[in-house]
Amino acid sequence: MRNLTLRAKFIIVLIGVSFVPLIFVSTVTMVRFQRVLEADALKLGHEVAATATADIKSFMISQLRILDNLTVLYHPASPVTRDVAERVVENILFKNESFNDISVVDQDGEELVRKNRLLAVAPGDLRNVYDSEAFRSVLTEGLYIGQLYIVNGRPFFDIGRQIVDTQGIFAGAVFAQIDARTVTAVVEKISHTAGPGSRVYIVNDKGIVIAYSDISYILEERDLSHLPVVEDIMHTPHSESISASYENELGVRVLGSAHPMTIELLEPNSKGPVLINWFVIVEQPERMVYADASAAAWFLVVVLISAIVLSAGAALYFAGLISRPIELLHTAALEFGKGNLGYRANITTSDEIGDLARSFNATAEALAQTVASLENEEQVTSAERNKLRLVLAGVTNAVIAVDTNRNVILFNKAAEALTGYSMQEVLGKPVQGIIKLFSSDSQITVEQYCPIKSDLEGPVFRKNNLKFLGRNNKEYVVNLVSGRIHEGENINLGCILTFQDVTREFAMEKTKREFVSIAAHQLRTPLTGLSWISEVLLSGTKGALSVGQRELVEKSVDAVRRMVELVNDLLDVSRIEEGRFGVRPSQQPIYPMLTRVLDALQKEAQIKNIALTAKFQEGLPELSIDANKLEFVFSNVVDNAIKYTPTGGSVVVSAERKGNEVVVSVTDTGIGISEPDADRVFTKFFRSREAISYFTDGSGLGLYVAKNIVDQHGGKIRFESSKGKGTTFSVSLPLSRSVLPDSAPDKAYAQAP
Amino acid sequence: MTEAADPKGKKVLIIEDDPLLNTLLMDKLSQLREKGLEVYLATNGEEGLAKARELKPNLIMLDLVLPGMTGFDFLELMRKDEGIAKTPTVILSNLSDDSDKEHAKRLGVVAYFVKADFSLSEITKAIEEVLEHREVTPHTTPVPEVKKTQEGGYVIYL
Repeated sequence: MRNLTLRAKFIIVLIGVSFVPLIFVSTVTMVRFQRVLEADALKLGHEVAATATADIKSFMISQLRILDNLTVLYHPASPVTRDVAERVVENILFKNESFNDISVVDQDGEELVRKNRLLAVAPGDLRNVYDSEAFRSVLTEGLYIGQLYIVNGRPFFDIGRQIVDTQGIFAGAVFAQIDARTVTAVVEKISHTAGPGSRVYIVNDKGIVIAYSDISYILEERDLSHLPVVEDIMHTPHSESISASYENELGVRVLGSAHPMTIELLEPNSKGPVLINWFVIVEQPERMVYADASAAAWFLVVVLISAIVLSAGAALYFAGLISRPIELLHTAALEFGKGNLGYRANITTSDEIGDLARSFNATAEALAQTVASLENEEQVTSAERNKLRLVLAGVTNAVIAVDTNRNVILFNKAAEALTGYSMQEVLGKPVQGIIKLFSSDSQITVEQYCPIKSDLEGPVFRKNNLKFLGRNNKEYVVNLVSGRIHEGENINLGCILTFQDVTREFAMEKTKREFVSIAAHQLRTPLTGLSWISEVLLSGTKGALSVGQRELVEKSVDAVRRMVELVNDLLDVSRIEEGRFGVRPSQQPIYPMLTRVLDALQKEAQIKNIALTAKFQEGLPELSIDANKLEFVFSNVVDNAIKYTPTGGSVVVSAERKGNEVVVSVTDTGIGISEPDADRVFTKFFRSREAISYFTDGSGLGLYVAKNIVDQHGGKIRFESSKGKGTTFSVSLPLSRSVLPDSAPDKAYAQAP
Repeated sequence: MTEAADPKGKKVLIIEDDPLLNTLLMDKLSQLREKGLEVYLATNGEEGLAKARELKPNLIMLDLVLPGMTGFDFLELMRKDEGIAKTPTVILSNLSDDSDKEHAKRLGVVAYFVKADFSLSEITKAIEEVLEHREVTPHTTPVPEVKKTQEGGYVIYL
């Protein structure tokens, strides 16, 4: 059903909805009509049978009345002579063709007179019939009607009646042989009233035909008791009538009915009615009975077929009205699909289909215009893209742009050099197939380095000194900046990756760091020697020193100390840059560490007459800190505060909780840091111009290392300063936060020298 | 100070390739040597290992950066030699990385001194203390912590 065309569906529905009930109703009507016709036929049969019965009855009675005339022969007062009697009988025979033979019998059964229509009866031919069935019947019943019999090819039956004298005394009987064809004549006459093709016949109580238009049936004494209606009526002679549909002995399908034909003859002298058990059979050919019905059926069939043909035609027409425009629209849509945007659905009707076609055409028009403008735009875009490509070709950094599915859409010359792939090879391919990036030894996923679903604007991934594996596993060190262009989504631009190849710089940097590390380490041994020599000298075990000598040796000790500090600072810087400077935090209070710092520097403060005081809030929570590393931080900050605060000033170290942090502040009344230097305070080798002019000593590495330590604690170090009035350095440390160990940069290339 | 210390018959083996430091250490330890402490010198790992096996010292002071065998190699070989496996060992080295300190700690050293960060007196005081008190069983000690004595002393792995 689903695959049928609209037309087929239309027709099927129409037939289903209208013709099935119509056929059903027609059939029911036809059946009922047949029943009516059948009833009519049976009624007709009944009427025919009744007429036949009445006619035969009146015939019989008329025959008997004729025989009444013979009673005169038995007048006891004036007995007639034989001659007279013979003349009377001859006269009756002459007047009534139905009689063939008449005999007059006396009370003892002696035939007195017998006359035959054709044969001469000699006096010697007269018999005594006293013992015959006919005479017995006349004696007992007053009447006799005998069975049919054939003589010389002619059918006959006998009737007889009693004769009484004027006193009413049995005087004799009269018998007559009746030509059975007279009965047939009656039947034949009635047959015509039963309709064309019908036949009417009479059978006796044995089913033998006794009256029928075809005389041969009678002569052959045809037994029709096998016919259903005959058989049934013989077994139930008292029923009203019996009908059935059957095929008769001629092979004709008929509607037959059998009717009992009980003729009661009531004679004045009889002891009761005389019954003749004959049956009238009326057979009407079904062809004729149902002629009207079949004519009606034919008519109905013709009407139905014409209706179906007409309706199907109508359905096809209306379906066509709907489906043809749809087919036209379909064709139009197909043409559209093929790119034939100039095609229009040619439907001009003003109905709903026309509306549809018009909106379709309007859409097509709009689409064609859009496509045209898109093509134009495409040309412009293509030109712009070429321009962009040329620009990017000149950029020394590798630039790769991907769409929102992370497929490469731009790939400049430098990117080709870095990856080893040509632009043609990678355009439209997933970027992760080209980029293999590692930080430490773990690979960075494409989701990390190429963000396409971020609400952030601008660069969202920025990492330096990453390992990049090019084609054939060639190793590079790159700095990567990648970002998502917020407006890019509309033009299918996912993110832009910019790689800076720093392989050479990184190698040089590494060499430099290694040099610093080795040099610094190897400086320790001679410094130790120097330091220990001074110690031995100062201890006096090698002889007492003069005041001047002692001063010089002490200066030497101080110089060595500064060199050792420098070496340690350089090594720390080297470790930071190699990513080996990790903190090992553990949960602990912060006071002991701060106290150690203050204790260690108290002496230096006293020498400069600077008040070094602490102001710790009570009940500070424990923090997750690396106390040794933080001790370095605060030693540095407090040492600087003391160093750059003039004599008589003050340095206050305070610790307090602020929200989710503990803030340690070091406030001095020192020289301050001027604004232009503020940004560079925490950078390597930085020394403010105030510091340099005030105090030439110092490596400028302390705060760089300090910031790194604080960063690794997840904290912040900052300062506020006003030139000439003082500086406050604050270190804020988060509460109960585990410090991320891999927050150290450049771990990938962290290798011990 | 442990003035009452009696170093008599005790042996210290110093494995250090720098002759100046050796001279200074020998000089500093002269007082104790007069009281009977025997101090031996070796200038590389192989020599040190041979002397250690021969002398069975009560303490070894070991440099890590040595010509040929490194101090770490020395420690590993020493721990495998039953005769000297439990000899208390003190490191005196210019390596100052945490990783080196931890490496040495795993190899069971009782103290780690970074050169130039400690005075001669601090070193010799530690030697005395170890000779007096320490009975170190290196492989069963729990993971120790870095500590600095209140006197501004030295780093000891307890």
